[in-house]
Amino acid sequence: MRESAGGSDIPVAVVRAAQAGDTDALEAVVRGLYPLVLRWALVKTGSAQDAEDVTQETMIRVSKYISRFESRGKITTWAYQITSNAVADHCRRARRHLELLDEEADVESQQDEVPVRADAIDDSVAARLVRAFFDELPEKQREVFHLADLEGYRSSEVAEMVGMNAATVRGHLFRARRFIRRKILEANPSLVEAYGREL
Amino acid sequence: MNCESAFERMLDADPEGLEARGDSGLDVHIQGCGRCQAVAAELLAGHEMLAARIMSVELDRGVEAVLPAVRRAATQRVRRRRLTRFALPAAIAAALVLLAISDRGPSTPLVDPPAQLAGQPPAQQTVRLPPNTNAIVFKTSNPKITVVWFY
Repeated sequence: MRESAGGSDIPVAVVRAAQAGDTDALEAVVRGLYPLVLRWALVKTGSAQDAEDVTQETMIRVSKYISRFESRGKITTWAYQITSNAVADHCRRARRHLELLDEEADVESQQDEVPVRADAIDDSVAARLVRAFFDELPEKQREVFHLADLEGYRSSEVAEMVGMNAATVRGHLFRARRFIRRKILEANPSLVEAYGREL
Repeated sequence: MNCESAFERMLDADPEGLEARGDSGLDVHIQGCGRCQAVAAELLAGHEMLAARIMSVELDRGVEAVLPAVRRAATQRVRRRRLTRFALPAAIAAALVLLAISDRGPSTPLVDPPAQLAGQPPAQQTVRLPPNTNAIVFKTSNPKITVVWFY
């Protein structure tokens, strides 16, 4: 049996060895999860810098608590929940930090740091799409759309990962799809005009 | 299905649905309609583009930067496991031994060593009663054995 959802290819035997205290196996688990956690953190925070911090924290928590992972489940689902908690803690700390900062000047400098994501990319269709994805799509919709449509997790897996019921996940997914697809088609209006309608 | 309803359904469909490989109403329509095929292809390309952009975000730190902290956490975990596996039971056992010893009362021996003179039979052993303790002495059929019951 192999753990393979969403591109992670971590054999269950390696996970068990890591749980038993094998450091090499633990490193293999961390290497396998790292790119996934990084993308999840990026999508959830919308900031490359925050994503790096969250990923590091998540990997440390995975190392500390891997013995608590129950091998009946998927390690990706477990790691996603740890990532979500790390993001929540990171946001709480960031909010507290912001509250301590002095008035607007400091707040402005913080806002300058956040949109690392798309601003560095040239102003192409892809950049506009990425910017819309991060800046305009609400976090839950962004999260569900990314997991289901871009990473290929099944709706039931997504529901388990994000801790929502299946109907709520579907609702977020439909709204996100409509939003993203309209944005995609905005770049090629002639396709839509052929239907005699506007987006 | 006409193009208008196919368009609406393409906005909601799974990415696999846009590939139109099955035999649903939408699949059949896309397979036979160039205009809807173009829209489906555009939507799929958009998805791929977005996924690729998210995957290609370059970060300053890679997994190698995380590994030292991971190793430290793993070492601490192994130490904790050893502690709970060996040190804790050992500590409990030691505590039980101490408890058992302290329950026996004063550390002075209960039985005084018999004094034996050369050429004489061994002197009779004497038993000292611990404080707040009663005793019953039973003589057995074996003259060498006497049972003393403390209670």
